[in-house]
Amino acid sequence: MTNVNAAHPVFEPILAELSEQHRDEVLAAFAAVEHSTQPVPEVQMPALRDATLRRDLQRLLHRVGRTLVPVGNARWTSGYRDDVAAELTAAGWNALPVIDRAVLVLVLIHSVAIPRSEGKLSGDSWISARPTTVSELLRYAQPGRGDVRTALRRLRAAGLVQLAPTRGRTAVGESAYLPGPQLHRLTPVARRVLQQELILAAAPQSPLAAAIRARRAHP
Amino acid sequence: MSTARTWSAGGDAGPFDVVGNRVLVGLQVVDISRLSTHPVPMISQGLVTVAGQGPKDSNGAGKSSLIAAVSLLHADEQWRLASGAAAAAELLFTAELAAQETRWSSVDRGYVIGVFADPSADTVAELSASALTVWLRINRKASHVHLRWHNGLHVPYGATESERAAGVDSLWDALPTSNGRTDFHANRLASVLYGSHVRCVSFLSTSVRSSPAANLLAQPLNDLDPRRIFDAISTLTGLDRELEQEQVLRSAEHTHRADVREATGDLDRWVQEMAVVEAGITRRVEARRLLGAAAAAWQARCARRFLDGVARTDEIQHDLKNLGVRAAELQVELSNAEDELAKLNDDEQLDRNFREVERSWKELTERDKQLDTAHQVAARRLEELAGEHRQFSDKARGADGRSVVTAQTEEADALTAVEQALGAKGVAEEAEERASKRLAAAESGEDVAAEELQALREEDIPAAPLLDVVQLDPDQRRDWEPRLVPYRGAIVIPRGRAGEARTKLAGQSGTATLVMADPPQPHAPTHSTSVPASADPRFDLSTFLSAIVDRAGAQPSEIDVAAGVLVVGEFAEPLTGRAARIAAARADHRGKADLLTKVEKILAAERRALSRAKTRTEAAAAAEKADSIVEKMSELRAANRGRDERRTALKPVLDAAHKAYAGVLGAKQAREERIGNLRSAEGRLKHELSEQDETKTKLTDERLALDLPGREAAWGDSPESAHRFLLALDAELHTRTTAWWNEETQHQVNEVVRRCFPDGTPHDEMPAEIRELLIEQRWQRGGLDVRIPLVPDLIRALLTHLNLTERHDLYEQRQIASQRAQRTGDLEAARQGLSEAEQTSQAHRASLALGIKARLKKVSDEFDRLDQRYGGYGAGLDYPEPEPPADSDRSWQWTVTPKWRRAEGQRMSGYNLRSNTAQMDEKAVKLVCAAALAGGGSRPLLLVLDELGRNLGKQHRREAVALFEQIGKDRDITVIGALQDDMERYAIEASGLYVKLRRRSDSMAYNEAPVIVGDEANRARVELLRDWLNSYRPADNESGEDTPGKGAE
Repeated sequence: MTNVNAAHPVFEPILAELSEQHRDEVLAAFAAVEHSTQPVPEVQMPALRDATLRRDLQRLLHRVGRTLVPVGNARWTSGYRDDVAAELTAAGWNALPVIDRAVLVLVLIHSVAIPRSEGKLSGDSWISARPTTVSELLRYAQPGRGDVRTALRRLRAAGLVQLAPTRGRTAVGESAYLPGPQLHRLTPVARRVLQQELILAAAPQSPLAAAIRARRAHP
Repeated sequence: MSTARTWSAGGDAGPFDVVGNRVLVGLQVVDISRLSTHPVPMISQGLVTVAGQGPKDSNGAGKSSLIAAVSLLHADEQWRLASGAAAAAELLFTAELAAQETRWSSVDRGYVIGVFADPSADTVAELSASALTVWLRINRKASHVHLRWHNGLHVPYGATESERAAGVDSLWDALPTSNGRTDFHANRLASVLYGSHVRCVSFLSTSVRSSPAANLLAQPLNDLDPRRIFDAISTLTGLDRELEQEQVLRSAEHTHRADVREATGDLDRWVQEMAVVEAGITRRVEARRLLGAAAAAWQARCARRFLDGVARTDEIQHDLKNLGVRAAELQVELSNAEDELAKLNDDEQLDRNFREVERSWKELTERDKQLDTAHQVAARRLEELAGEHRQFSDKARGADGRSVVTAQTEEADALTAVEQALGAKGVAEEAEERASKRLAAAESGEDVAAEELQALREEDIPAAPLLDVVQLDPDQRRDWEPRLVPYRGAIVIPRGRAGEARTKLAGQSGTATLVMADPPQPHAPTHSTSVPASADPRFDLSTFLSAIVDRAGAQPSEIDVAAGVLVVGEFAEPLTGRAARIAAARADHRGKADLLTKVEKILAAERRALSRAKTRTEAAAAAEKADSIVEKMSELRAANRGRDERRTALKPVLDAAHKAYAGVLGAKQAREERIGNLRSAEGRLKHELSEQDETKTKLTDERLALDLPGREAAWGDSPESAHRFLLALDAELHTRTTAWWNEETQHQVNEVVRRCFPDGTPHDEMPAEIRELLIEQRWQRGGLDVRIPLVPDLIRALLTHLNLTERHDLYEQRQIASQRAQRTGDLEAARQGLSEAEQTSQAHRASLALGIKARLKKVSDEFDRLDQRYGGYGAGLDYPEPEPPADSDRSWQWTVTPKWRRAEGQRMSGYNLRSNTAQMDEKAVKLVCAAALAGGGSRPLLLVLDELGRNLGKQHRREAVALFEQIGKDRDITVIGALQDDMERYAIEASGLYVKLRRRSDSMAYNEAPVIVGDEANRARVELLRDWLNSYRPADNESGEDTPGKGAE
């Protein structure tokens, strides 16, 4: 009756096959994975829990260039499909300015790459509980401090970094950052590519890097 | 409670199926549309008709709103509960829709309150004991539906509308929140209240219906596809829970399958990556072996090279010794040559002699030249003098034999005569000039007082000379000419202007005589004989002439007797008149001109005499000069003769001097040639010596370049040991040269490099040392000469690199082995899980299929029975068993196709054949009832039908109403229908409860109290319920007595 609740025509072919209840569940899950900052636990969403409905949700997301991304502990979120992401990147879409990317990479290196290389972090997720302090970011930063801080604010607004909860470890008054919840949206392929790029950049002589290069040379 | 809803969200923890088997016995709404707040009793079986009495007809009384509220209360899926039931807000009282915006405002929230009780409770006590009051608060803003409930009766109360409405918020607040700190919302409504059992199937009119969702009653039956029909039936029969169980199993299977897929992909990728790593390890093992061979080759090469170096050093030593001997010989030769050269350079005597001879020869030559020059100068002078002599001799001929002195005297005489003639000529010229002037003045009339006349004419005073004015006849001349002589220069002027003339002439030099003339006579002058006439008519001289006549004597010479003046003279020419005067002047001039001509002739003669005298003087001087020149010439000739004699005497001396000079010059040149020869010999010797030096340096350099200590160090032992080492090698290796070994070594090292770092390896991936050697030092591009010096360093670097990687490689190999085992195990486990899940799922599906078919068979039978009983010819269902889904995440989709006979004895035809709408609706209702009945559930069912029988004709309506009545009575089904006006008469007799909503005027915001009437069987119960509902007053101690959620489970 109201247009607010009417689904977009692009979804109609899929939604039409569903019963009233399933349609509601799928739409609710769609909204949840698309708009929730954090991954959605599947216990909250029947459409995430059930494989059949999840398939419908996946099809729904597929039509808008997205895909379901499983996050450990039975949680789900959504991200760009790999082909769509590649196409968007090739077309020059990149929401972040260079400085923001640089700062984000610094945070990822400090919070994820270094702990992972030390064996303190397992899995291929880019989320970590090891904070990167601002002083660490500023110490080696070539851009100005003001630029870095602004970039951090923007990244935080975008959910790419988050403020670490203060613990005893960080000095008083110094804020520290963690990779943000939006990084959950990376698909496994995207995560792997990121990891490989980091290995190639950090240890080009390692056998791992050689393996990566061999894989890329002969896909 | 139900095993089916295992995945129900929070179902294990929260309240579930609170209402249970209880049925709706009363309904009360507050601020829902324009419905009044009166409690409406409800019966639990049979037909309930809702009619309306609006201002004009049944429309506008709120029938649809009431049954919509009932369907919401029964958690009808049409409200899209999972999405929050936003459409429920449409039910709220809205002032604009009620046309009451001036008096009332729209409400933000309203309440639907349902009282559920055991259907078998017949007394107030039993009702109170089993009662459950369910409150739905509907909010205009999200979240739209809030749920609370209370065990026991808890409804708005009061005598009037406003009382009931006023108390409702506080009653709501008195209820405990249903979900801990908050309330349950629409999405949990069905599960909390009814445990997800279907309690209501409804068709709602479009004004409140939220969406045309698939629903057996809400849409024409043939708009639905068989799958949707199965869904509807399965929901009604409870099969959906069984199917959900199947779906859960399938989900599990899918999860396993995904696990397997992931593990397989993971393993594949890992294997692929590890293949590269292992290939690297293998290559490095090979490289280590090759590196050993390379090191051995290098050692042999060093030994060979060392020995070669030793041999070559000896040769060089020998050559150097030979060179030393030869150099000493050359040195001796060189010093001999140098001595001789010094001697030659030292010959002073010869030099001095040469200079002496040269000087005397030059002196003599000089003297000869001087004599010659003087002779030539004298000859030239002689020629000049001869020319001069000729010139002067010619000139001397003009002297006419006079000497110089004589000639000069004659010249001086001639000059004096000329000067005298010149003086005479000057006097004559002056006299002639004066006469000429007088003649010109007389001819122009300006000879008498010319200046005075000119002055007077400038003043415009008429004037004229007196002698021109007086006219004398020839007779009168004798008397008058003497008389007029004194007045020869006088001027005649008119008497009247005498004053002016005197003033004008006062400043003039000289004298002027003025004669006054009378004014002219008007008549002709009287010519007397005595007085001369006037030649100018302007002047009349009668007075003057008369006076002169008077003074004259008798004699013409006596002109003034009184004064005693006599004029004596002969007047040949007339005195008066101009002609006379001109003639006199011309005669004078002619005399003077003749005199001048005579004087000039004398002068010319004197001048000629002077010129001749001058010429003679010059000629005499020239004769004298010629004589002196002749004398000079004879002197010069004598001098020349003397010179010639001196030169002749000098000649033999000069010749001797020249011969001597030529002799010494030859001696000198011979000596210089000798010196030159010696010098070149010296240079040659020196060159040879330096060549010797060069060869020596070269050899020494070569010896240094051999770097014997370096070679010894590379070998690391004595030459003897190197020799022994080479001998120990295979026979064919003995003869190999250093170059051969070099080639061998670099080849092997290069092999090692290629195994460690295959072609195309980026440079920055190599260790720094090796990169330096390979790239910076150009091992890869360079030839043998570049590579050989790098070999020892490269072997060492590669050894280090390979030693370093060896441990890592070992570790990695172990890791790979363990990982491979682990991953394979994981994959195996996942496959195991998958196959188990598949089996479970298959088994469940098989048993479920049997169950579903049995249930659908029952529905089909019931459908057939109902159809035949209520006006049909028989009906049934087709329900083929579907194939199991290909993918475990695809649903196992059953289909149901209803069919019925169109006429007696016909074959059954499918529902989707075109048919009349009424029949479709009827069959739909029958199908719903059949499904509900066959479901076998103990739960009561509510059918909600807005605009009951909207498409039916007269007989069909009757049958429909009868059907609902009957079904309701037979089974646990309540049918609530809103009726159009014209249905009322069918309905009243058939329905168990009749509710009439009333609103008399559009100016009323809310309805009046509804009329609620039960039929005979129900009347008592309706009354009981009404009283019971109205009797509610909260007990003092009631608040907080019960906690919802506990009593329900």
